[in-house]
Amino acid sequence: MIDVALKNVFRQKIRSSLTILGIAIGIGLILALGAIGEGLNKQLKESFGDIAGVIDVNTNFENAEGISDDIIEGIEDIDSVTSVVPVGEYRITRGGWGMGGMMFRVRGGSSLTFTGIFPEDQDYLIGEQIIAEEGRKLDESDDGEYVVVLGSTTAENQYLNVGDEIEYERREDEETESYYFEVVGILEETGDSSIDEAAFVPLRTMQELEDDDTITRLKVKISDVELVEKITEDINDYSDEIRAFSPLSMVRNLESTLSTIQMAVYGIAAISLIVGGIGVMNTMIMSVMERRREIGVMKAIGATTTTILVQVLEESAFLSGIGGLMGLLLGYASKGVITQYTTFTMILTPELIALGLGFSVVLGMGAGLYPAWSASQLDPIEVLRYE
Amino acid sequence: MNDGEIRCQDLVKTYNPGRVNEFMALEGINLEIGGGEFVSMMGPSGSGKSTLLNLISCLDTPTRGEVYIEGIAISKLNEFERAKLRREKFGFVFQQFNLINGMTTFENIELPMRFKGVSKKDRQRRVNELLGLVDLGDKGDNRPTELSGGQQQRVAIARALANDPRIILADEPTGNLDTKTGEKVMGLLSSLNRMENKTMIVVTHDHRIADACDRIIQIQDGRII
Repeated sequence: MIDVALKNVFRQKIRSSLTILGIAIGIGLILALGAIGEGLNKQLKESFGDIAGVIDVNTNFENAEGISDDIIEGIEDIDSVTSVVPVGEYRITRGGWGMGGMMFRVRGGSSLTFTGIFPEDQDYLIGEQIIAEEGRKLDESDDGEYVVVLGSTTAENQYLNVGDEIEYERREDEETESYYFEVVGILEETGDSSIDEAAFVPLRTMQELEDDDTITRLKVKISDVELVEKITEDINDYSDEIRAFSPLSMVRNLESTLSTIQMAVYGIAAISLIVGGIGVMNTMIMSVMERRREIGVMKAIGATTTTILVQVLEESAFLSGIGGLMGLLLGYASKGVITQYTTFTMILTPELIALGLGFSVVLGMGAGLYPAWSASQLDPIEVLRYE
Repeated sequence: MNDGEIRCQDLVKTYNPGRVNEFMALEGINLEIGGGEFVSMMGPSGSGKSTLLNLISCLDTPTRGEVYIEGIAISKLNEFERAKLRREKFGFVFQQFNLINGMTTFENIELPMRFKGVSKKDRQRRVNELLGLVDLGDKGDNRPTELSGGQQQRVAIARALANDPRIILADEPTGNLDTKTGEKVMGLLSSLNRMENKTMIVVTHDHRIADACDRIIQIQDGRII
């Protein structure tokens, strides 16, 4: 008798609409908050995706000598290590030529660091799929040339464009000598600050310039992301002169923080849904009270207890199911609005939608249980005698 | 066992047994109503006639004694079987009509058939047939509130006939109607008794109605006199 249930729901239009609204807000809230959570998760995974299988190795504080070739070879020999990319870092303290020939000073702190890399290692470090937004990436013919490729944040903060030059001052004794590095490319935004805030130069150029081939940092690529913590430990055990650190452990920390926040947020949404469920229960109790006589008549003319029970449960499920559908619309609407006006990414996964709709129907049935039971227990004699 | 036969044996109904407010509504009723008989039940308020009707119609269970409907002892039936008996053996007509206002005339008449599980096609055919029988062929889509008292009672009679029961129980069917309309309703009931040989029990205060029946059952203080 589903058609009867549906009809009964709309006998009290305003009351039913308000009850439905209560559920819709609860479900909409769960979907919207869930979608934001999914979006944050995805952003997190994307921004750390490329570096998840990378371990950073730095020289120890007490060790100014840099990382020796022996250590590099030793790390290369560790199981599951696929490649070791050496990096040299060189600090610039002065400015350079930018903005069409005007002198530019380094902004945002007093220094900018050149990250010296071998062009052939570039893809390991930056990521193969990262393209140059303007100009080009480094290539092997750049060895020995004074060229620089900028991360997107660096280019933006320093107002640098392709073709501009950055002055690098080399100090020896009391003398300083300037070298000018031409910006040949600007990378697209990656979300990884170690790339976006960097300025990449050919390592051999810097080694010749400074007459020094100190390696201050290594990027270690491994074949199995799952082993990242163990290999990080292996590298730390290998030598006291270096310190290994995996960004993945940071990602894991972030993920667990995020999931804690998500649970709290779901909790809040669940409370609003429970309030909605109480609304359904209230409406159903009132509806059953109003229809006592009607229910009594139905029982008198041959409806079984089960018929009445199912009928009221259906009504309750309808109320909250319609609420669920409206909540879905609200969820989509809030996704539209939020992604339009903020930088949040929201993802309404099919699981979330199924969860929302399923939960609304289960909630409706749950809220309908007591009213349905009390309706089914009505004694037709009592009801028909006194009303 | 005759079609539509009702037999009450030593029927006792006590309310609140063992308590200070214990009240014996029926004090040993023996009654036989043959199939196709048209009886009226009379008695002052509180005489026990409603209790008797509730027991006969399986809405209530006796404290002692037994009611046999076409030979079936009703105290042996469970809740589900009694509901089935009510919708298939009995048709109910109430003083207050007791139609469901949220439903159309058509839907009201259809209701007992839905409880029984009759197919939509058969329900449609039967409802139209019944609307014709009670002369309300054009009122199928109306709500009960849009009908006069007499029309509502005719809808109620059509509903009572939906599953073609053998027994019609009418509790003060004319109590809320003016004399003329009441006569029409009684005419309809007695023609059902004559044409379709339905057992008819009419509870009434009205002697003119009672006198038109085959037999009058007088109840007083829980006994038949």
